[in-house]
Amino acid sequence: MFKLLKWDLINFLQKYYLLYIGYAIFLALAAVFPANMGAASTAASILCGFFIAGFYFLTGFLAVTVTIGWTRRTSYPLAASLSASPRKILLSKLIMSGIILTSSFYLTLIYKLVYDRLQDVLSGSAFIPNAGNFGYVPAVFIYSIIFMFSYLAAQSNRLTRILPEISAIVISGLMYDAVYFITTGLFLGNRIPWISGTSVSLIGDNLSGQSMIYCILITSVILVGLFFAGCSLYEKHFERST
Amino acid sequence: MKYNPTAPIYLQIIEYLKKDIVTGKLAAGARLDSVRTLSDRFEVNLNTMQRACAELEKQGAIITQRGIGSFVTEDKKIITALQDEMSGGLVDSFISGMQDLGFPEDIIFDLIRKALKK
Amino acid sequence: MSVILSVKSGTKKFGRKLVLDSVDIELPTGRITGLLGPNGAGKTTILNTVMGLYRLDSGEIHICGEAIGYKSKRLISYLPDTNHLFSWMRVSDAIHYYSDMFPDFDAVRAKELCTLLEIDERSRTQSLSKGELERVLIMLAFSRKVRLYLLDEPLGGIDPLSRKKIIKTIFAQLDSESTILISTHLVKDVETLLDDVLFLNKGKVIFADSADHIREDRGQSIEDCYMEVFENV
Repeated sequence: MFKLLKWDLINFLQKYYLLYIGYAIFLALAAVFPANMGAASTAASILCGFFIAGFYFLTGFLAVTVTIGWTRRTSYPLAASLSASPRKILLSKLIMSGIILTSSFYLTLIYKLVYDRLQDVLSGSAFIPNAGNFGYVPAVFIYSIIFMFSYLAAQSNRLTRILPEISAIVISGLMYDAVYFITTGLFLGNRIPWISGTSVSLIGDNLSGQSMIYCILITSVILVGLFFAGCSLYEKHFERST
Repeated sequence: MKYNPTAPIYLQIIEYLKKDIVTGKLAAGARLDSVRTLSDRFEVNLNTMQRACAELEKQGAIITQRGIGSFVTEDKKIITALQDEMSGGLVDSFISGMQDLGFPEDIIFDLIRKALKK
Repeated sequence: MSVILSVKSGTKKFGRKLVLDSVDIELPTGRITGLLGPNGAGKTTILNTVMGLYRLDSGEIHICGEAIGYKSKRLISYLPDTNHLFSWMRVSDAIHYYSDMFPDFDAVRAKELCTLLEIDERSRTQSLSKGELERVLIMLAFSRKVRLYLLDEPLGGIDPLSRKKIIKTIFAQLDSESTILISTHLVKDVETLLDDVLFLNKGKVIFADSADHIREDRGQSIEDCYMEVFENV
C-alpha cells in the first residue's frame, strides 16, 4: 500500500513540481518587492496575489481530479496491470488528494515562519492567509470522495460512459447536496450550516457539541460507504471510455 | 538459421541434426547440449526443439538418460541407416530431376563420373 | 496440459459496434500462440478484456481456472501496444517501479536483458525511438516470472536487429509453466516463432490450429494459410 502511495507521490511531484516552485517564487516576490513604490508595488501585489490565489484554486482542482485522473492517462494500462486490490489503489489516491489539499496549508505555515523571521529585512507585503481561509479544505476533500465515486459510477454504466466527465460532475453535485440533506434531515428543524462555501467556522455556531458529533459521524459513514461502493464499482464495472 | 516456412520446422531441424550425426560433426556417443541451448542455437521455439529431439529419440538417433542428458547413439547400424536414408533421398531427387530433363541412364553415369573427377 | 487462459463466448460492443463476437479461446500452458488478424480485428480488445481494462458484455474469462479479477492479474505480464510508462521516467525509474509493484519481478534478469537488448538504463523513455522503447517494454515484461505473457504488437515497426533480439528474448522465456500470447498483424515475422495460431477477423475467431498441422496437413506456411483464409472470408 505504501509503495502505491510512494509512487503516486513521486508521480505527482514529477508532474507538478513547477507549480510549487512558482508558488514559492511568488510568495517570495511578494515579500521582497518593496511596498512603497506606488503603482509598481500595487501592480506587483496584484500579480502575486493573482498567482497565489490561482495556486490555491489549482491545488483544489488537482486534489479532486487526482482521485481518477490516473485512469485517463496513457499510463493507465500499467496501473491497471497491478494486482493490488482496488481498495488499496483508491485509498492511495484519496490520501494523495488530502496531501495535495493540505500541501498549500503546510507551505503557507512554513512561509509564515520564514516571513516572521525575516520581517525586519523584508519590505514587501505579506500574503499570509489565516486558518479561516483554509476552510475549503475539508469541503473539497469531501467533494473529492464524492467525485471519485461519481466518476467511477459514470464509467461503470454504458450510457453515462459516453459523457463521463459531465455525468460525474452532475452526479457528484447531486450527491454532495444529497449528503447534506441526509445529514441535516436527521436534525429536522435544526439549521446546521454544513461545510459549504469557504468557511468551516459556521459549523461551530449553531450546533451543540453532540449534534456536531452526530453530523460528522453520519457524514463519515456515508463517505466511507461511498468509498467502498467506488471500490466495488472499479473492481467489477469500471471501464475507461474509448 | 533459415527455415522453409511451408514445411514443419521440427522436421527441418531433424534433418540438420541427422546431417551432423552422419558427417560425424556430432560424434557417435557425443553428448548433446540441453534442449534449451539447442533451441537457442537453432533459433526456434522450445516446443519445436523438443519435438525434434523426441522424434530423433523415437528413431533411435539419440538416447536420453534421465537426469544425465542426451547422447548421440553409438550404434553404427543406426548411423549407417541414417546415411543411407539421407543419401537415398538425394540420389532419388537427382535421378528424377535428370530424367525429367530427358537424360538417359548412361549419360547420367558419364556426367556423374566427370563431375566427381573435378 | 492445463489450460491457462479460457475465453468463452466473449462478446463486446462499443456503442453499436460489435467488436468481439462470441470469441472462444483456450490457451494451453507452455506454448506460444499467435493472435493474428488485420488492424481493427479486435486483437487489442481481447487482450484488454483479459487484463480487465475492458469488460465483456457477455461471456466469461478464466485464468488458470479462476475468473478474472484483480487477483488474477498477478499471473499476467502485459505488454500493451502503447507506451504505458510514466512520461517522466528513465529506464532505471521504470525498473525501480516494476521492482516495487511486482513481487515476481527479477531485477537481476532485468539487468541481463538490458545488456542483451542494449538498453541504456539512464535514457529517458520519452526520447527513445520506437525500437528502443519496444526493447525496454519487453525487458520489463519479461523480467517478471508469470504464467501468462500478453504481448500486443511487440514487433511492429521494429528494425530487424531489434526484432531478432526481441524474438530471442521471447523464446528464452518459454517453459512448461508459462504461456505467451502474441498479437500481431505481421504474420511473416512470427512464422517460426509460433506453436499455435488464432486468426481473428471482425471480432470473430475464424481459424485456430497448430503451426505444425498447417505445415504438415496443408503444406502451407502460416502466412500462406493466413492469406488463404482471409481471402475466402
